[in-house]
Amino acid sequence: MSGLLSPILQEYAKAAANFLNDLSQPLRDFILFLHSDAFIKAIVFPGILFILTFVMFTIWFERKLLARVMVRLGPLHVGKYAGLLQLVADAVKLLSKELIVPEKAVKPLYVSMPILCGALSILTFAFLPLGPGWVIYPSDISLLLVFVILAVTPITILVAGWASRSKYSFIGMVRFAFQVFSYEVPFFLAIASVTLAARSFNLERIVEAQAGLPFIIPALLGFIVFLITSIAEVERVPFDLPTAEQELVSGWQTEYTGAYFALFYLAAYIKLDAVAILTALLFLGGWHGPSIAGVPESILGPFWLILKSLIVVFLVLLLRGVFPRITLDKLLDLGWRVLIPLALLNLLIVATLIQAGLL
Amino acid sequence: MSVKALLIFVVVAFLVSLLFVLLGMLLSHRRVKRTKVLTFECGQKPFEWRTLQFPIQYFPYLLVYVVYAVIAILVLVSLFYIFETPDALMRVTIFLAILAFSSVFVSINLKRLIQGI
Repeated sequence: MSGLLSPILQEYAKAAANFLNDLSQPLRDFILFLHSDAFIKAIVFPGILFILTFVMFTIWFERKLLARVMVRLGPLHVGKYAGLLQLVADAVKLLSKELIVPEKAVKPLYVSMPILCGALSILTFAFLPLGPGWVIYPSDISLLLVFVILAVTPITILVAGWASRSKYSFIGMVRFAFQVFSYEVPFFLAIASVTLAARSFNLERIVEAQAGLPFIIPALLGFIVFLITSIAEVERVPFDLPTAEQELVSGWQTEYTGAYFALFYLAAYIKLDAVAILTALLFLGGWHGPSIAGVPESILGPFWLILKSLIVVFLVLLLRGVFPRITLDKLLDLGWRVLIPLALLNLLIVATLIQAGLL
Repeated sequence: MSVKALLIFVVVAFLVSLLFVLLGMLLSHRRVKRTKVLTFECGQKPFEWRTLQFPIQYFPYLLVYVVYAVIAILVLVSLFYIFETPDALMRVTIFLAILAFSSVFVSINLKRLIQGI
């Protein structure tokens, strides 16, 4: 196969070199830049285009899945297959809506927070490896960096809720503050068990440590705690008290319209996808999976990882069709009475397993 | 090389978000109307938001989480301690056991934290 292809490839390379030589210097530099590793990683695969496609697919999948749960058809007409392009149509519709800044709102904060929230939630993907070597910025503390960004993003939402100066936004913001700051502790403790088992904060090393056994088996309690807290972190049902659509008119998003609302909406789904990929990396064995003959490792790794994270996304989306919303006191009770002791017990189990030489 | 990728990614992340708002400004129509810039109340005259207060009955939970945040930092420090000196695992295991069982004990014994509901 390669013997057959190589003359054609050589021809192609020669033609490309000739083409580059004929161009002027700045244009040649630009084309080489488009071809560089950094550009492709930041824009195409682990980067922005992949994120936007993944998010579009997630939103379409949610609408289709919820429709099937309720015995409806869901998006059907836009796009060739099953309303796949419905989201593009929705985005155009949202962007054509009027951008309103309420007269009571604190304008600079009100206008800048959606942009900051969108950008920060996209930045989570900079440290998430999607395969061996498929990462925008490899770092020894990538797990801590992801945790820091996931912990900073809610602050933009708090400021947005406060700057709206509306009572619904304020109530939603206070609920969000309680929810996020209380669930950050069990979230971190669940992460700590994985780092203890892998003895590293590097996500790639954590995945390499799961080559034999995914961490969901020794740290099952940690997986449950991590899943519940991350659902609360991204405000999905049953933990959607801050944006309770029926009682609070979308909570802290009440005053936002048009493109601002679209950014918050997008940011929520980007966070959901980031958390799903993080779950697959930390507990489900990352890019390890059965090998398929003829498919190279560099494509198979991301394929298994994305498949696993789609399973997590499916679970999280299904919850919205099944569960009602819980109340604030139950949420806080669940956090400190159930999740934190479970996370600490899970840490103890992992430490004991390491002590016994089983991990 | 990877720093370059990170820089491009950061710039693009902010550009994409800005692009959304710019497109919104370009595509949206604008008709100024008094009721539109009022605080959301379905056109009714909005009543004051400042009369709302912080839900003080949940204050004990905040104290609980402040205590647990300190414990989480202790766990983080002990993790780094294990990375540096693997022999310390026994001591950290005992520390984690004390934490786990005391948290279970507290959560079983302290049932009602909410004040005034």
